[in-house]
Amino acid sequence: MAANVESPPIRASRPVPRRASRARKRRSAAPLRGLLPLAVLLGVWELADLHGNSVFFPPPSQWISQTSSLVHDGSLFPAVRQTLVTFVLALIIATAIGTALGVLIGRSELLDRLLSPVLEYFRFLPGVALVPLAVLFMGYTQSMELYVVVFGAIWPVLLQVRLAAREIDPVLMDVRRALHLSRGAAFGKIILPAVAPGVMLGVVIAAPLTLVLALVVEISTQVSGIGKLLETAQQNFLAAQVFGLIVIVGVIALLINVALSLISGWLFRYRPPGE
Amino acid sequence: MTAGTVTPGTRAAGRPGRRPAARLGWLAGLIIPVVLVAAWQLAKSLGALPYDNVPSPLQIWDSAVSLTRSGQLPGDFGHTLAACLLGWVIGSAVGAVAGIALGLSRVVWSYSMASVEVLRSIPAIAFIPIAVIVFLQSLTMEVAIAAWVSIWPVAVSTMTGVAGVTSAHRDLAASLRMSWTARVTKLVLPTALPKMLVALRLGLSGALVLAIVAEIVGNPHGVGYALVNAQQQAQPAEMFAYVLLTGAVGVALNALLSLAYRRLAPGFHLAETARRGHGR
Repeated sequence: MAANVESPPIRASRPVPRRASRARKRRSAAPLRGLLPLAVLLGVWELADLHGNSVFFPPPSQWISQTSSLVHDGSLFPAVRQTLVTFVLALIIATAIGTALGVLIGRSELLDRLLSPVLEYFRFLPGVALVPLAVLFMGYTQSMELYVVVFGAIWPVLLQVRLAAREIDPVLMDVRRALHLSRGAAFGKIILPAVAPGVMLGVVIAAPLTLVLALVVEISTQVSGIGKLLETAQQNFLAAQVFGLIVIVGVIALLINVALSLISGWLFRYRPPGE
Repeated sequence: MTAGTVTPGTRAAGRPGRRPAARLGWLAGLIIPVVLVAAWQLAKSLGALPYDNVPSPLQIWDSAVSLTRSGQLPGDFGHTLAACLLGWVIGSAVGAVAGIALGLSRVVWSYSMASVEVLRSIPAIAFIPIAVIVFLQSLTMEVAIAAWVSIWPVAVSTMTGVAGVTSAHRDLAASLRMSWTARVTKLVLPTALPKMLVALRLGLSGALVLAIVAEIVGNPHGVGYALVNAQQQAQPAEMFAYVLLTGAVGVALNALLSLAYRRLAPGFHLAETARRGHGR
């Protein structure tokens, strides 16, 4: 049994992960020529409406010109920063709370049984429904936004960590007992590393949700951020600006994905792939 | 979960004792909600709550009842559910077709997958303002948004599911001289089904969320608008009633879907719960 526990890190030494990761890359990373349809669409779009007469579907060149006016009046970058700050803060807080609660619940059969229906309920309660409620009690404030976003983002992390904590190899807990590790040491040295993939999976699921929630709060309330810019542009029927902002949101979402996969690649660099 | 290491009580004995224990566990799960609601009511009655405008559970119940009597609440939920389900069905169909094309054809995949990746990573929320400009404040707008968000999980999962068709199966199809449609319906779809079912579930949650957001932001109907309206008129009891029921609707939709899975595809349901780690 002990040999079993130790073997993964040994197997993970050089050649295996490298070969496997290259194979995986070949399979999952879509080639850039796949962007062709999107590029053709945008090109046709541009050519079909050179004069920019369409109210609903203004051509891409107008997106740029109308969005750059947001840069000139200095409202774009503060809004992007605001949304990103909320996103990062909320994700970190939600991850911390979700991990702590997830371990607590996952490691205790009693708690798990007691809380299971409550967790199932909150998991399916759309976080966006809470926005008007939060506004009523906290007003249109930045801290209201943070509360709502954190509340919505906790669940994916909590549920994934609970699952991971529940499935920790019993042998590992025997190791803890054999080594007479204190509670704190056991948490840091055994439990946390064991649930780390669950945490990461939870964060990957929670990240888009967090961004969405932040945008919803900003769109539907007066809290500043990209969402508010979107809402303002829509109310002024600036379709081109809306499209420009959608592109910006898309770029942010893509960057978040890339950042998360870099972080998870770095965190689990010693693990054999496919684990 | 193995018995032996984590056994806080006498219960988690062996396999045979599992069933009654599980049922008892479910009942035990009611303790906390009941205690919470009772404590909430008590704190409200004693005036111990920090916020004055937090309603008591009884007030929420009363307002839910009167909203149901007046027909407003069922109407709102009907509207939201209609938008959500319609969009979900349309989006899932589009997603399934796209996923099959992506999974079957190497050319389609390599010439469009990157576009799909880009489009699906843009939060669907960001498209609501444009949907409002194009479709105005209408049910169509909600349906379009709900459909858009349902497309992507289904498309991607179908694609990966289709990739699970083995070369042996392909050889079999070839030696049976199966037609293209027969291959898709008898080989490709059944292979992809388990992954598709998981994605359909994801898509449904997404569609519900997006329908509500579309109502909060754009179309003044349904649950989302009722929430905003109650907020503006400072009717906290109504808001709580709507929020709590929205959660119940989310749970119910999922339960219905699970039930449908169990009926229509018993084996797949097992596979799915095994993936999630535990059965119900």
